[in-house]
Amino acid sequence: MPTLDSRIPAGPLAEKWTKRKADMKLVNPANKRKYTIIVVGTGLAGASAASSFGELGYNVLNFCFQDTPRRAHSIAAQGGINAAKSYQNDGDSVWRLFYDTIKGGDFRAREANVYRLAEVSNNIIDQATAQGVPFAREYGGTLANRSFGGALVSRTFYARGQTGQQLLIGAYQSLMRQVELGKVKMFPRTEMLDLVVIDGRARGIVTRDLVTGKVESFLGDAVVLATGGYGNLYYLSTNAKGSNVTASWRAHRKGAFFANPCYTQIHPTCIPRAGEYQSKLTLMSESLRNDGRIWVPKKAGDGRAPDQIPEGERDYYLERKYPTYGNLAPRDISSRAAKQACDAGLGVGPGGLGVYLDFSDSIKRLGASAIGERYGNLFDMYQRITGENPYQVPMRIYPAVHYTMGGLWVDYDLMSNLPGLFVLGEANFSDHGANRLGASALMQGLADGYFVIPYTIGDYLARGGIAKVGTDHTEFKAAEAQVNAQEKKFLSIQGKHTVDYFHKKLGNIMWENVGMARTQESLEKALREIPALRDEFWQDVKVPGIEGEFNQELEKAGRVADFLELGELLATDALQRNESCGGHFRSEFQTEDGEALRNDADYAYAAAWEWNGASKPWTLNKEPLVFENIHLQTRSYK
Amino acid sequence: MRLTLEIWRQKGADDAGRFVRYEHDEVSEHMSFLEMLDVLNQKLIEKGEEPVSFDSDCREGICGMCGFVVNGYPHGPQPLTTVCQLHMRFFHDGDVLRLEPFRAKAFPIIRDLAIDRSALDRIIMAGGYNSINAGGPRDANSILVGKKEADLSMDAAACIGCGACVAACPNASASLFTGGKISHLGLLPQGEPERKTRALSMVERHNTEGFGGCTVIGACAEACPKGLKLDFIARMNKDYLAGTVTYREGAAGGGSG
Amino acid sequence: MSVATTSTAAPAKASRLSVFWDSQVGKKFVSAVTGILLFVFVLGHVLGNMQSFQGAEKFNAYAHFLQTTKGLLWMTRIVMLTALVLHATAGIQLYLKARAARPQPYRVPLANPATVSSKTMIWSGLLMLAFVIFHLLDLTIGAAFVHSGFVEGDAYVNLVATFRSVGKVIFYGASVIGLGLHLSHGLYSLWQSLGFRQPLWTPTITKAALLIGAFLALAYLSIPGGVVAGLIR
Ligand SMILES: Cc1cc2nc3c(=O)[nH]c(=O)nc-3n(C[C@H](O)[C@H](O)[C@H](O)COP(=O)(O)OP(=O)(O)OC[C@H]3O[C@@H](n4cnc5c(N)ncnc54)[C@H](O)[C@@H]3O)c2cc1C
Ligand code: SF4
Ligand code: FES
Repeated sequence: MPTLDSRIPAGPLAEKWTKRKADMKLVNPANKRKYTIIVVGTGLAGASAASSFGELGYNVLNFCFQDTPRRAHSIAAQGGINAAKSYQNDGDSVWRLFYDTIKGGDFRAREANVYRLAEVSNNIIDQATAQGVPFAREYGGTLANRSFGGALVSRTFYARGQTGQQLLIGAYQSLMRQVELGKVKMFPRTEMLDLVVIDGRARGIVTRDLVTGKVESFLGDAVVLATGGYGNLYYLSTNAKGSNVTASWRAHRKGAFFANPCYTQIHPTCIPRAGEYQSKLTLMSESLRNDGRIWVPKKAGDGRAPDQIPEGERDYYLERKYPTYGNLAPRDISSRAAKQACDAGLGVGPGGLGVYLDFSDSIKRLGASAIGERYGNLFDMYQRITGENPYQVPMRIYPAVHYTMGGLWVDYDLMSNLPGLFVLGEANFSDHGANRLGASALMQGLADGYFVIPYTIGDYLARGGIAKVGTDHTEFKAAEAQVNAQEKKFLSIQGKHTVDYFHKKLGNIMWENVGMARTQESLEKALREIPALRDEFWQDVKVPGIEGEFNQELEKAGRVADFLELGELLATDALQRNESCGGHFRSEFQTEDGEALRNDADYAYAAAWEWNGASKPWTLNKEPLVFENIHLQTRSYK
Repeated sequence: MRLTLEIWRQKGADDAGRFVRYEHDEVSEHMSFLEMLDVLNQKLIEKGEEPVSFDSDCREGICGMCGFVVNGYPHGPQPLTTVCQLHMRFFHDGDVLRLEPFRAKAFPIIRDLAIDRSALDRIIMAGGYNSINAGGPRDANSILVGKKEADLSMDAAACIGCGACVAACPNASASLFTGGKISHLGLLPQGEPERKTRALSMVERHNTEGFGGCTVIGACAEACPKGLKLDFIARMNKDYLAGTVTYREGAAGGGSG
Repeated sequence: MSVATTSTAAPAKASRLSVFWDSQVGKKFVSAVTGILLFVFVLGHVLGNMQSFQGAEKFNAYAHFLQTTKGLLWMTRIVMLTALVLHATAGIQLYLKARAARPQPYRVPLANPATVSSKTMIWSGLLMLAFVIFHLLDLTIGAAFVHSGFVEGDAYVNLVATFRSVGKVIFYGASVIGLGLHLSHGLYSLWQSLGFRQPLWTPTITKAALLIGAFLALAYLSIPGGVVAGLIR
């Protein structure tokens, strides 16, 4: 069993990163152009890394499956990005951001990584501002802040409701500058389909050109994956349609460990699904809960219109259960409460899968125009999608899969257990433990790309030992053959059902059994159903078209094939974790009043799963989580 | 409800292309436009026919990946709405909808409704950035930006790069896109040092990419799902003219820095 | 697919002027500046010619003054001719560029909300160009194949004679309506081309351009109108 060395520098928490940087080997500036770095992904993590590498002088090959790097899924983030600037003079500090993040993650993240994240958070705001990101401003010209869940200070920076878009465009612009300068070669509409490992080191990738269908190999001195999260395993999620696990998964099959897959975040305020044809779910900002009250009818199957239900027959269940935090209870808790209400038959709207988010009290108190000023764009979006006017009838909301805390295992340098393979952003597992706080994923992606990886990759390259090989190496040829064979296989099955049919079925199994609340029974059920579905997929899927051309169904087939394997691992991970923490709630492990019951004695570790080959069980490697600086405690929001 | 769809089918850039008619009787008013096409595609695949290729990703109106022309309207007839956010309740039973790709020389057709918009990337490459490297910038609050300028800059920065402006323009001009970027950066003090050279290089790249010129028709702003205004094109012109007047050899040219 | 640096940037050697002219902004700038000159001329021209309502003597004196002030005459001719050539070339080139930018037309016409004037600039422009050539032959040069009874030096007679011809009145009328349309868009869009556009002013500019365009068209129409109505004989 390979050892899981997290390589956290010794010494006091606040000095670890400084010390690590001081100990690093450096690449001679004149030699940088002799190294080629492959970066897969152009989201906040990938674009910031690729442009920074270019600025440093490395040669960079950058890939994404969208038609331009600017469309990576980071673009959809609405709310904001955290930083410990303490511009508001309200008592914020690097330590407090660190602490909030660790606590928000339910004490399942690495202290050293999270501290570094908090430390570099301030540089991100400076960097983005210099790039021209139009952050919201006060009249005096200084940057504005808002507050977000899980924190008592105002530390979130934002650009209207489009913070992710603006940060990504900032990173994209820097990236395009490097493309113009010839330091970065950009490959849009190109999907990584395999990782090539030579002599134990990650040395390249095999890709498919999504327009021409051409399968091609690329050689590099290091490979960086910044390929985002895997929430689309559930079919319906707030992720973009194209978001997938393929890059990470193929790396996993080549030996990279997959850590904590069971930590999935379910966001409480999304627009409920409207029918079978639903293709994705849309997030409504958490900020709505500041002025909206959440309720369901007290009587199951109450078919009356909401305004016909008198006050006394409504259950404002969050206010009832959590009198202190009320409607602002954290994401995981609010989501579960909504599910409980709907499971009890109290849900509203089609299929009973929804709860009311009611603004009528606020509108009475503050007037429709004040509410419109705060949430106008969200109300418009809601109306566009549902056709209902939230000024007049309460919104209907329901939880949806939103973010995945798990991902490829990385050490302090963001390198996986495979030397030369680095993993950034949502694709890695490092910083959010079992639950991510709002506005901290953007922070992590950019911290990784701008301020961590440029240092740590230099150290890896400078240490040398990277052999001279070419893409004619047998490992490349084998990987290409594998990719080609898989495509041929998909096209030859010509079964009865479309790729989406299987994806929806898988999503359903996952949502029902490995969703907001999991039990041993449900997980075992999932572990029976997923492999069966996978077998059916490989026998009965129907993929039209041919290989050598633009074929969107073929793209999807490869992604769903990987989800069908990941689903099994996710359920396996959830089954072994006999505790409840953050986004992982095992119904067997709860307190008397239904709160998550953590088990620090037995489960304070990161579970890093090792692939042993198709249909063989995974090996579980454990990285113990050591808390030297903070005291483990139970989260309470009562 | 029931719809008749006439969809442009074209195998590749070299294929001539033609409209193909589909009767679609499984349309729910709650579907988004793209979900309506998803359902059609599922049926086509099951029948052994080729599904219709179209691009989309976020389906929330923010990534800019979707986009085609519905009955002569880029992104469909709803103002300020991308086609992924357009819902079927705005259509009526029995409607005939004609779907065409965005058409421009700079946007070659890949397949059916999917096109190649990388020309827009190349316009950004020419100078759509502040030439600064990661590391070492000043504290963000040491640069003060008036709220009005910040807000206006944000209005311009809201562009999602969808190309609907090009599609709508009788001249197939990408001026709204280009002007948006020039305005976004030029309105901020951080973008000031390169304001004029940026306009020079971006406008010239716009030209060599094969887009038409702006003749102030205004169809772009009508079609833009993010509400970018013609004012941003005026700002582009102003910066370009100022750049021409103050031009010094060796001062222009994208990416140098 | 890869996005490579297509070395499409203007070659360093090309002179700034030619790069400027090649760019859409440069052309539109030239078009705006020459447009202003042409507008001033067209305005002066109609105001001057409306003196025909004051009778032959007054009008011929005015014409004589213009003819004999050689410096002014030739300067105006050179400036206006240059402006016209630049304006027309820019306009035609922009039009051709736009055509080239969409080689495959839409099969379903765009549901374009744009104004008629903005979409027909090339046609109103070409119509006027044709008219200007004809007009010079007709009333300035007095080419025989256009104007048989041309009387050198008697502008008033020539003018009345021209507007007795139905064909010429129709051509003239169509052209000045074209002028009105052209101006109602041109006077609005030139501000944009010069880089001035303020949300505050735009509605005013739009309205003013429309009014001035209409006024000029009417003013020009008043002259053949006067002839037809017998006010100018
Ligand atoms: C609706 C929504 C709202 C959010 N709001 C917030 C918020 O307010 N604040 C916050 O902090 N976080 C928010 N998040 C979370 C945050 O946006 C993401 O976690 C983060 O942006 C992920 O960035 P990334 O760079 O890791 O990956 P992504 O942005 O997902 O980028 C992945 C990249 O990898 C590429 N890629 C993937 N697979 C392959 C492959 N096989 N081959 C080639 N390329 C590949 C893609 O093309 C893409 O370029 C939100 C998320 C969602 C869904
Ligand atoms: S300016 Fe508007 S229409 Fe044009 S690319 Fe940007 S968002 Fe799309
Ligand atoms: S799919 Fe992203 S904007 Fe429509």
